[in-house]
Amino acid sequence: MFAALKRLFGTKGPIAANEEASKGVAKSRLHFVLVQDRTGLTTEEMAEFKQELINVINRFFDIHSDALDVSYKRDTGMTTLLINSPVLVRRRPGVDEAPTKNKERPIKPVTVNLTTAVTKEVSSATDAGSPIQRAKKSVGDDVDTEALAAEITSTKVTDGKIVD
Amino acid sequence: MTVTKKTECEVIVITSGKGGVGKTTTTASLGAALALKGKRTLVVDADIGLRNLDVIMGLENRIVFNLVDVAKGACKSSQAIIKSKRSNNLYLLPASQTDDKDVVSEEEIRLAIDQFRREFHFVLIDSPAGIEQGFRNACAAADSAIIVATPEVASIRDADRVVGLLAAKGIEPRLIINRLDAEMVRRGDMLSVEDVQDILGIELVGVIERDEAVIIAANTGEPVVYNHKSRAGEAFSRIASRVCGEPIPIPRIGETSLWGRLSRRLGI
Repeated sequence: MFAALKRLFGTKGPIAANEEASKGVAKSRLHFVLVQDRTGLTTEEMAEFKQELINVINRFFDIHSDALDVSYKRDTGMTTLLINSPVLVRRRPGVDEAPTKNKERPIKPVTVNLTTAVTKEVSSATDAGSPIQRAKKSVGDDVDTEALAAEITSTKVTDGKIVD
Repeated sequence: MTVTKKTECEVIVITSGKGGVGKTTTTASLGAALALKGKRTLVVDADIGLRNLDVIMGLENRIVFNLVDVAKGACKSSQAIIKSKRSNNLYLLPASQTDDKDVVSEEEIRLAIDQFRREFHFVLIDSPAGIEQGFRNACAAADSAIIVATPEVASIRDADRVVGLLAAKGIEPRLIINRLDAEMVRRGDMLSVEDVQDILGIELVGVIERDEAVIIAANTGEPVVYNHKSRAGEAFSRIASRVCGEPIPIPRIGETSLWGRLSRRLGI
C-alpha cells in the first residue's frame, strides 16, 4: 500500500524514470549533432567559438563555463543562433537588499541570453570561408558582423535587485 | 484535356533525405486520397533507376513509357501516364528502370512536369533518397514540399539537412511524421510529435502511426487509403484534406488520460 502511494507521489516513479529513458539521450545527441550540421562548424571550431565566448563573458560576469550552451533554433521562416550562459550575479554587500537571517545567502544564477537572428539558411556546403563570412554572404547587408556578437538581454534584474 | 489553369495546379515534391521512411507510400496514399476527394492527381516517380511507385500503386505491368521518355521528347506526355485501377482521377508517371539519375537535367524535368499542369489539380513527385542530382531533379518543378520523417535520430538529422537545402531553393517545406508508435512515446522511448516539431521547426501537416496495413497494402498493390479500417489510411485522408486547405486538427497521439497515467504509476 505504502509502496504504491510512494510510487504515486514519489520522485523516483515511472514518470521520472522516463526522463532517463532513451528519448532524453536521443534529444541531447540530436542537439549536439544539429548545431554542428546547421552552423557548419567542426567540433574544433565549435569548441573554439565557445571558449572565446566564455572569455568575453568572463570579463564582465562570473560564468559557469561548463553550462554554456549554443544552439541553432529554427522556427518557420527564421533561424536564430541562441547562446545561453547561466551567469552568477552576486549581491553587493551594503548596496543590494539587506542581509536576511541566513548570512550566507546562496548565489542566484541569472541567465543572460544572447540572441542573434539570422534570417536565411546558409546554403549548401559549396560555400567557402569562415562561418561569419558564409553567414554574411547569404544574408547580405542585413547583418552587421559586430551586431552579430551580442544583443545582451539581462533578464530579471531591476534597480540593482535580483527579482525572481 | 484542360482541367485547370496553369496557375491552379500545385506541384509538391515528397522528400526526406533518409531512405526508407515512407516517401513512396506517402506519395501513393496522398495521391489516392486527393483523387478520392475529386482532385485530378498525377503521381510521378522521380527515382530514376530504382522505381517503386509503380509497384506500390499496383501498376507495374502497365508501363510503356516513363519520365525520361517524356523529358527527352521520345513520346507525348499523354502516352506516358497510366490511369490507376481504382480511380479516374489518379494517374501515374513512372520512372525509368534502366537509366541512372544523371541522364536528365533539372531543366528537362521541369519542362516535362510543366506540361501536366493544365491537366491536374495536384502533381506529387516521389523524390529519391539523398541530396544529389536525383533530389535536385525532383525539386526542379516543385511549388512546395513535404518532408517525411520518422521519429528517429538518423531520419531527423537528414530531414534537417533537407529543410536547409529546400530553404536555399526558396521552398518552405511541411512535415509528415511517419511510423509513430504511441506506446513507445508514452514510455519515453520514442521522440514525440512535439519533440520532432520543436527540433525541425517546420509546419506539421500530419502524423501517421505504425500500421501493419501499410505493408499489406504494398503486398497487394492497393494504396492503404482504400482500407477503411486502417488508421494510417485515415491519417492520409486527413492529410489530403489539409493539403486542400481544410483546417482539420491533428489528433494528439501518445498522451494518456489522467486515469491512464495514474493506473500506470500504480502498476495496475
